[in-house]
Amino acid sequence: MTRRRRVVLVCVLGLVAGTIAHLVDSNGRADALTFLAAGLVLGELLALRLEDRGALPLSYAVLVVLASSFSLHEYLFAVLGAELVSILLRITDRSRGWRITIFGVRLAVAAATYAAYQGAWHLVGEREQVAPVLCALAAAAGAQLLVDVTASKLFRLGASFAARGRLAWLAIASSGMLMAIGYRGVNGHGRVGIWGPLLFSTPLLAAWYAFERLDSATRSYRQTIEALAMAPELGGMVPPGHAERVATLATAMGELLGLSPGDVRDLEMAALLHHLGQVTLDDPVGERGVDPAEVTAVTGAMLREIRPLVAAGEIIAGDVDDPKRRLAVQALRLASEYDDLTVRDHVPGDLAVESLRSAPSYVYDERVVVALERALRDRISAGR
Amino acid sequence: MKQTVAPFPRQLALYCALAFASVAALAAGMIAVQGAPAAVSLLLLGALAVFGIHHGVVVPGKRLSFSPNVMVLMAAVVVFDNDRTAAGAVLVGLASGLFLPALGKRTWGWILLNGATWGCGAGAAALTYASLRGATSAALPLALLALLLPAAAFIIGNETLVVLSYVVEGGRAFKDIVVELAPQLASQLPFALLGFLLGRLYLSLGPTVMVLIIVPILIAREMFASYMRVKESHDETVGMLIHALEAKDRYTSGHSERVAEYARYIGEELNFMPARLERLRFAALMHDIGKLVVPNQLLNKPGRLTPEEFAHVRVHEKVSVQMLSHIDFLRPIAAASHSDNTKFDPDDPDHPIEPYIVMIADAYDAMTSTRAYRKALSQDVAFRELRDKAGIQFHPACVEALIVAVERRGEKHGAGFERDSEFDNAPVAGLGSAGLGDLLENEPSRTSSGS
Repeated sequence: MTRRRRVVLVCVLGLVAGTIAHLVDSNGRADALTFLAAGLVLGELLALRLEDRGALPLSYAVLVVLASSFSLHEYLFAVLGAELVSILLRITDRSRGWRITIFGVRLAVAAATYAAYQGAWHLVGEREQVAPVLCALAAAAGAQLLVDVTASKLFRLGASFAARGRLAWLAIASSGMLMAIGYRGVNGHGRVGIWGPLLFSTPLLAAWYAFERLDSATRSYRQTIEALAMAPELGGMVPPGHAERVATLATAMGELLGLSPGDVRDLEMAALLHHLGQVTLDDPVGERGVDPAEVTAVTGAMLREIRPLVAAGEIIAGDVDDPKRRLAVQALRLASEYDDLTVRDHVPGDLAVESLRSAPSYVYDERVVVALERALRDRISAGR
Repeated sequence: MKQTVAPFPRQLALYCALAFASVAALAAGMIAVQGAPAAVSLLLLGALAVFGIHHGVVVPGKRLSFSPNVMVLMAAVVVFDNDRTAAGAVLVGLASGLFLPALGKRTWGWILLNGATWGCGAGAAALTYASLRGATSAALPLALLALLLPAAAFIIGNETLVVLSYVVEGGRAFKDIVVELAPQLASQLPFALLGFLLGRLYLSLGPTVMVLIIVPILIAREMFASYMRVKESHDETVGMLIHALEAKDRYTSGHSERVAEYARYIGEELNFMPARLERLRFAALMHDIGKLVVPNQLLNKPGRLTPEEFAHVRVHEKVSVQMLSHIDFLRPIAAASHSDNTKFDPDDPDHPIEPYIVMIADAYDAMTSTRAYRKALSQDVAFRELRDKAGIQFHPACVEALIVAVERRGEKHGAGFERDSEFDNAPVAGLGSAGLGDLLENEPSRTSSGS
């Protein structure tokens, strides 16, 4: 079932269940609780997607509403029910282990949200004024962040607090607080009931849409670059998988060398595309032996014509002055040479490293060779 | 995303000044009758409105924009109505004209016009809201229904001045402009309603809560800006790819762009949505991507290719499919893009239509372009060939869509109408891999093909 269909299904079922709850318990809060539980499930389906396959679900905003307005057993009922339904809806997503992990993380976040809100609310003396209420709500949102970031690190669920993650968290936290205030009001003022979470989720949904577009565009762009990187390989000019392997190794080396995230990204692009220019060169059919310097020059010149790839072009051409970026140039060349030795020439890995290390000192900076060794060691220890 | 200020035409200056003066006079009249609005709320909401005008969100390709300003102005309507000083909302609207890039360029007309349009909308909403005071203060959701009226008044007041400015500027038909702006108007409604609720929260809980709603909107805007940057990067990169491709194969200069253009014509005729049109554009631009792996000598060989060389060139189709399949949004199209799969098959209703479209656009451009091995055919001959093969080789609806689109635009392609041919000495009848000589009188029949 597509996500769109799942969303429609949850909306319809939530509406039906909420209406029944309203009819059965017209003076109670069962209808609001049901609608919010449906909101939790919807929030699980709609997540702000981050770099590195991470995601922050919109359900965190609904949790803040629930924690601030319902008793513990009502909260437990809504959270457990919603998370179980979410598990069923995720039945086709990834592995069973992943689904169980996510279920556990969500329960931990829900527990932290409730505990933090109640704790903070008690600390501020349960005063029904704007500032204390906002403090308690902020504590609940902060606890969510803490648990989610810890769990993401623990279970390698993606970088939930990287650059995009910080903005995502801010959007969810501020919307959750506003939705909660709209639902509960403060000292009887500003209370609009279930309409609060419903209407004040609009900016968050706008943010979700923007995150979706960005994620989709980023993925497409990355895939286009990878498709371009395949061209020399499909043409038999370089061994299959060369660009991807060099990109993985060079990126790891760049991180070990302390390059900035932007420089690492440029290095990765450079590594993926460093042979692209070869496809434009005139060479006799079926003959090898293209001049690598010419390939480098042509590729560098080609990429420098494209604004977003100028830096990658400079790395390939070796035309950089900044000492840090010089390391990126060397990391790319060393990673490429290592791959040539081990894959094309079938030299065992340790011998390849040894031969690269024994090259004259003006060829490769010692730090870059050390980074290569460490990156290879890390790869072995990670089982890749 | 960065907003820019277009040069302001002089003929609009009088209109803008008049519009601004009228709205300012309305505010002055209201102050005279109802008294001055509270200074603190005026400063705060005015500052927020100016902030909002600098932080709109434009949804690319959908002619939609979301401005926090709409919300701020509606909140102002509610806040100032509480003191019975509707002039406050109009003044906040007038302040919304203070767009810094326009101030920097001293385009006073732009500033006056924007101030007037926002002020007019806010004034209309404030007056409607005041007249509905009983209904709008009811409980939700009844109040939401009542609030639709002031929201509509805001949109009408705001957009009337905008539409009139277009009429004054370019003498365009009122109806055309309204149709063009309709999606924009619809997108403002939910934000207007949200603004009313925000105004209520402001009155109940103070200005702090305003921050909570501004934050996610700013983040949405930042993400859209990032999205636009990535999209531009993508476009530029694909452009480079096309450039590299055409540098290899000078016989097909401009071919990919033309194929993308014809594919868009067909997609628009078939009422494709913008996102689908975008996918089609990429597929058309990249349909020959596999040629990157074909040696230059083969692509540029004058005259007929040997069977072995032809087979080598044909490898590019397989490579194109492999490369395009790597891109998620092109995968469904790529899988059906190999020439073995693009021949029209009426018994395969699940076959995506996009590869058929690209094939027709490709064939049409191949026929109407001069190549080293033959001159371009006339448009009539190309249309006749497409129609002859419709239902057999080409998708009939796509063929008709292309012909209708080209004829409606009054465009002429082919012999005598080429834009950038550099092969003056090409033979009239076909040689080489796509000679198409059969389409000329008294030539033996062969199958047409793309590039």
